[in-house]
Amino acid sequence: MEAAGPVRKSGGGGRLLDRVVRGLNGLGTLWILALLILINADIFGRNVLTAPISGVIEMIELSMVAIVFLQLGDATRVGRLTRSDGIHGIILRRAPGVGLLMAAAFDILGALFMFFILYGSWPFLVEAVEGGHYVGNEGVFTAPTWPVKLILVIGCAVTMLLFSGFVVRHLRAFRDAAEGPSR
Amino acid sequence: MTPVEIGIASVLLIVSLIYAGLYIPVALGLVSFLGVWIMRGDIQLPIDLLALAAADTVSHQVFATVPLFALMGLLVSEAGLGNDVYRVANFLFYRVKGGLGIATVAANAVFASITGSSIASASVFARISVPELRAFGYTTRFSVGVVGGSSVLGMIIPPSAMLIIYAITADQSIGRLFIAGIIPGILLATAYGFAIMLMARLWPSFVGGRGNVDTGTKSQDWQTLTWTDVCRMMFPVVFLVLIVLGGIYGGIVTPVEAGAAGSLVALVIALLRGSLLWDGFRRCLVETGHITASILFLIIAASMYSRMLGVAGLPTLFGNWLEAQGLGVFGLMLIYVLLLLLLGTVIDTASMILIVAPLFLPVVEALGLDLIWFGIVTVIGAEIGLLTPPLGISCFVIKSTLNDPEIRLSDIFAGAFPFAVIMLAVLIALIAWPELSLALI
Repeated sequence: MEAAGPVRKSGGGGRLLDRVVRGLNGLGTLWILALLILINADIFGRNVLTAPISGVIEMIELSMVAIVFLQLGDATRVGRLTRSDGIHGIILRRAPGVGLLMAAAFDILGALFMFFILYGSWPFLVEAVEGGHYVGNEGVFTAPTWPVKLILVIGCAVTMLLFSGFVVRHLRAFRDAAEGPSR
Repeated sequence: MTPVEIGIASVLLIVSLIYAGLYIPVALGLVSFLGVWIMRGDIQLPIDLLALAAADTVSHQVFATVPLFALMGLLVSEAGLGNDVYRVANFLFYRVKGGLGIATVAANAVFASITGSSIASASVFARISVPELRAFGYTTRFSVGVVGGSSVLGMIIPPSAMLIIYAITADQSIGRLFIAGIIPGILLATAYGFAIMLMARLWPSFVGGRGNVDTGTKSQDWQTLTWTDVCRMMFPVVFLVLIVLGGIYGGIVTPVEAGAAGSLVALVIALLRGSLLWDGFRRCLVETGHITASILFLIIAASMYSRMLGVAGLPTLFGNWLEAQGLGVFGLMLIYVLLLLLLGTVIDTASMILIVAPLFLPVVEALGLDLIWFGIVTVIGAEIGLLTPPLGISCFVIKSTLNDPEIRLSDIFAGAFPFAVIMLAVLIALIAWPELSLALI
């Protein structure tokens, strides 16, 4: 979960994707900072100025979804998705070919998972945009829901592409490993 | 196949895929997708389930505690508070036999009250405390073992990321769980302390240590600390504890607000000490983002899993079955702890809580047991896995932080083993006497 994993770097074709993912991560980082300031301002406003900020809870709720999906890509890129790779590590050392094929299979499943979430989330985005959905109470505080739905879709899409890039890399490594010793 | 059989097959498949090395959120989400699809025979249903889980699960303000307490922990580590706490603890304990070991435990316990992560504790104290212990003649095994053993305090003494995760899973109050964690945390730290004293006398070949040695080097300057220094060095820590735990206990702030205020104060402390530069701050924020994404995405996937279990009706049936076995509280807890120990050898603490707890919660509730107490038992039981091979995460963190080829992973596991045994003993005590967890709430 929190253990540092190996940093995975994409090849030439993935460079643009890498920059997009880092950009999203930067945005998510700033968002966490903004949340920190907002909540402290609310504590201060409520207890010292007796002037609470309206809509803080709604904003936190929207923010959490946004932060997760802004950071998901970068967490995936640097190998921080939770996994238990001890047994897989042993297989990679003893039988690299099998290990690499397994790694490719894991990343195919990862891409597939992101695709399902993406596919299921798209209608929610369309609905939020067309229906003008918002959270909060009219006249006090309202915030539209579509930006967060959009972030969710974008986050799933880049993570899916990252997984696909990993698959290609593992298969290339498999091919190289298979050709290597036979010569 | 009946839905229950599909549910059981799904749980087994998830565990096998996790053992094979698949990303845990992917294993939870995809197998749940498959399970619901087979049970209901309609692919649109599981797709909606995934999308709803992704959009709704973390859309609640309690989840803000995850990034906020993570940031607070990273900032106090960056500020070097761990080092100060360790120096004070050494000053207090170095005259006792095994004193530097006890000091490591005490420093970890105090540091744990301002951070929520065993990983942070393990990496901070591997750096600070292992070289010091070895310089004083403690064996390598004991030095790394005591750091690993006491790192688990990070997630038992509040604030604690694992207590937050359990609170979310079991729908319990984070504040009450934090308060419930205080006595068990102190109890475990005290048990470690006495065990070290005993081991230093009865098993010197394991512990080592030359006792009170004045080497006069700069790194041992804690021997000359004055009580004024101690107060000055402990002030920021005490202040943070007052804000976070005092605020929650006194009902002044919610856990989310305590996390935000704690992070802000930690930031100010780090800036005042001049130990935080822009680069370090940026690193803390990026790390916070990675921790948040990995924990919350895991929670999202776990909610897909628990929705699948719900569709299969598994928790209720499993609960009825367990009740029909007539195990009683003792038998139930025995099975539960054995399962946690077994899974804990491979699966990380957070995933384990999210996978196992939902299966047992209905029966625990039906037996009229307290869910706050059950949370403390769950977190400590799951945390023993941090110290056991083949995949004790705390031990791995110590290994990679020290990065010393002379210290093998097997040394760390061997050194941490006595501490894992003490944890188990404390866990049994906590199960036998629920008051230990519930007295303060």
